[in-house]
Amino acid sequence: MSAPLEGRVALVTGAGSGMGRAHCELMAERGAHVIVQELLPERAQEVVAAIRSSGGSAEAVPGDASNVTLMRERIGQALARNGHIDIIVNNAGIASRVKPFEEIDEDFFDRMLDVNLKAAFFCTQAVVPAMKRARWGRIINISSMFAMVGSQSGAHYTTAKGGMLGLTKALARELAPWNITVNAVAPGLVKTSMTIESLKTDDAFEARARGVPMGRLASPREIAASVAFLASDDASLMTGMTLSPSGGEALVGF
Amino acid sequence: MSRSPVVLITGGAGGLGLATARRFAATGARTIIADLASSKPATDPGPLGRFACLDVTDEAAWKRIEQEITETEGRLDVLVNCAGVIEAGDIETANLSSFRRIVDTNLVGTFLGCQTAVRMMKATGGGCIINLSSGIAGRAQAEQPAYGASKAAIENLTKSVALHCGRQGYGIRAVAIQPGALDSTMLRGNTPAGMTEDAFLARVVSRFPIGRLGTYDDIAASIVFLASPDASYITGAIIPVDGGQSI
Repeated sequence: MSAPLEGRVALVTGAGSGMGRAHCELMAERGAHVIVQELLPERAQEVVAAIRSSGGSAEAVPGDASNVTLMRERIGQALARNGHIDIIVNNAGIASRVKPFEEIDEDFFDRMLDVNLKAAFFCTQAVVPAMKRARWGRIINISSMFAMVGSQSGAHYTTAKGGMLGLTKALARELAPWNITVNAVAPGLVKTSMTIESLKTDDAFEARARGVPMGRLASPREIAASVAFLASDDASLMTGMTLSPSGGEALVGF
Repeated sequence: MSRSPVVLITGGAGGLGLATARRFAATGARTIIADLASSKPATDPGPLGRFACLDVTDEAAWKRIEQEITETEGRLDVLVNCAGVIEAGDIETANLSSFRRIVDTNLVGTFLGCQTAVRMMKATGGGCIINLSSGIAGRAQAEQPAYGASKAAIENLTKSVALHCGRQGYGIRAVAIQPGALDSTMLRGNTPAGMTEDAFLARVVSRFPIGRLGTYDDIAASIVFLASPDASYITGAIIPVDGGQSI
């Protein structure tokens, strides 16, 4: 494999497991130095160790991605250590439990918006000045197919993921003069520890897979491949758009 | 991938087609550059691939190229429906024959290409079809309604092909790319009377957040990605590659 991300420093939030971990592993494999941001310090270390043992380069930035003060400080330190952060993947997110709209209370809503939207807003704010100085940057926001076609449960989750699409378009316009591209990746359902929490049973996953035109769910690696492409020089004309690896499910909804 | 994928590019002798062939050839693919006999390059495209005559509006020509590729390569992995024409003419000035020429090459050509590719690819376990839409597919464009309509139709065709192939379990993906304005002879040729080409290009660029026109290679890079195993879960998608023009 070639190393299209050689020399780049990539920060991935919520990178201790599932898709976030896959983004880190693939970008490291393609030459990037990866900053593994993750709530749980031991998980972050685990991902860093795995990347290093396969010959990649990585470091950990533990902490709550939605804690603005903490992230400003820790991302600032990572920036000082590396000199530049070229790529940020706003991946941190929590799942929606299947819940009717009327039962989503304020605490639930706030927590959802904090992790799935506010974290992206402020973590990005922490890296943009360095990207502007470098006149090169890649901001990749992990949204969801739900933001494109709606969902039948978890309106707070879909609201937050829709916010990611708005953030993507706004920043794409505002940051384009500095050669910073901003795109969203809106995956269909991927089986990870997060989605197992909401769907729970294998039967539920199989039922969902039957509704996907391609007849199967995605692997985290298939989502990571879209992220790695958008982070590369090959995608330099793409900005403000949404790439949806969803096996055709975005065509039909679910 | 151990085996080199076989890639057919229609309109392959044009700027975007050739840039796409160059990109695929660099990844080790076996490329077939299909175009009208009158577009056949004077010199052999050499390492970029081999030339094959194809009028995309002619169903019999598609049957011939299908047979030829099946005999020589045994399979088709990627089809890029790149052949396209544009003619000026708003709803009052365009005539029916111009409308039909545009729809014939852009839409009927893409339809026949999809049909041929599905037939070939389902027999060998799958593949990828990439259609060329345009940034104007979803927007009004007073000057070129026929072109816009043909490109909008290509997007719907792409989604329908993707859905059918997904449901049938063929392992065939179909996607469409929406390029924005590219620095091309086609664009420069649209310079309005009484305006310098530079002033016209500057006006076009001002509509692109990214602040530059796209190049053939920008589009080719996206085509190669979408055809690759890295895009294995992307189907039925319409992908803008346009410097933010469509935001």
